[in-house]
Amino acid sequence: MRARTGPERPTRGGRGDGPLRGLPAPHIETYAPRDVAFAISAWPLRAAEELRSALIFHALAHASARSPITAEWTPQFVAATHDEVAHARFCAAVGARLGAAPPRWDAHPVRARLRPMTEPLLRASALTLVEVAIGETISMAMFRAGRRAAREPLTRAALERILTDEVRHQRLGWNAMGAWLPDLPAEIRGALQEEARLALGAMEQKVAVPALRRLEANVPFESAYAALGVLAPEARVEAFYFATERLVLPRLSRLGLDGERAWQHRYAHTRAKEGSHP
Amino acid sequence: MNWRDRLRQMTLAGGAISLAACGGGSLPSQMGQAGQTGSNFQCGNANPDPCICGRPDASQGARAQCDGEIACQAGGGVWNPTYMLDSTGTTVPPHCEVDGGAAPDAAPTPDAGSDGA
Repeated sequence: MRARTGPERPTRGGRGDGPLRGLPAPHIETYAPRDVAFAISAWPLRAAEELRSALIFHALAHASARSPITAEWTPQFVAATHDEVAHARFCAAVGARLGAAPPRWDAHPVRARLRPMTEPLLRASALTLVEVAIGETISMAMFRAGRRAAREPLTRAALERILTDEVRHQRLGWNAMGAWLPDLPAEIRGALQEEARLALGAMEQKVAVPALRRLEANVPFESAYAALGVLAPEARVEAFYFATERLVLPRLSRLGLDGERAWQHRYAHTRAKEGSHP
Repeated sequence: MNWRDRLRQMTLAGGAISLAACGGGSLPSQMGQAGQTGSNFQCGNANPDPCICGRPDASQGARAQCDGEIACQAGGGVWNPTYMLDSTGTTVPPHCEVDGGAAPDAAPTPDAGSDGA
């Protein structure tokens, strides 16, 4: 295991300075300690996810700078990298302020994600489509749903702050893809169709299925969890499919990709494009 | 469309809910080569469940916790995945909780839930 301590150490507690400047003080005294303990443990995990996004954007910025089609967008990916690093620090700080453990970070999945994409234009376009456009759209929906249900003041304000950037990031992804696609070679457009198909199945498995499992098993969900920022399984399922069906698929189609086909065949075991997925 | 319909549609599309479960059924092997890419997508708004987001495959600790969660739920309990400090400053590890704070036999920390944590 390659996990190591994440970007933020536990704070001295309670001062609300640094990344938390301008946010309200936490108000968790009215919640049961075990509910608080469960909910706040999501913050180090959010920090790890945000740091993963930062590394993805970092790799994307490097790749985009190496291709004439994508180079013009590089400064925006660099800025997004900084956003995501700030998010990681911010999530760790919120968690520390609420009493959570520091985040742990494992870079192995990011390296595995990047390894098959050696060609810069493919790497830039695939990461932009899947991780930025599709991924940030779904992430936006999750944060929006979490913010909507959250009642604890610090949690709600923190989710709101991240959501604002997620909205910008997903828009960046779709705009970049719209600008690039007409100039992309046919083999890369084909690879992107396949990337979209794989991504939709994988994201459904990772985002919706854990919630579906809980619903099927009738695992109890305390209302306090939602007040403290953890999405209820029903809300997670609803947010995922709303984002996918109402936002992602139509936007894929507007780009000239076949979103409906990608969704319909998201679990097909055929591999359309050899080389991009060894 | 409710969650049962979603589940049904996903199954019809070829997905299976067991793919995301803990234990042997890993996402990459079940999805074929697709999983090599798919298993590394971001997990969205994180939650502390040790069984999701590929955590059992990425961490032995998460795998152990996930196994504990499955055993806990099979016994009718609710898995608390967090490390907590109780009122005496003692660290309480992730544990299984059942009604009244008593732990089922499968739970790794039999005193969990009864210490005021």
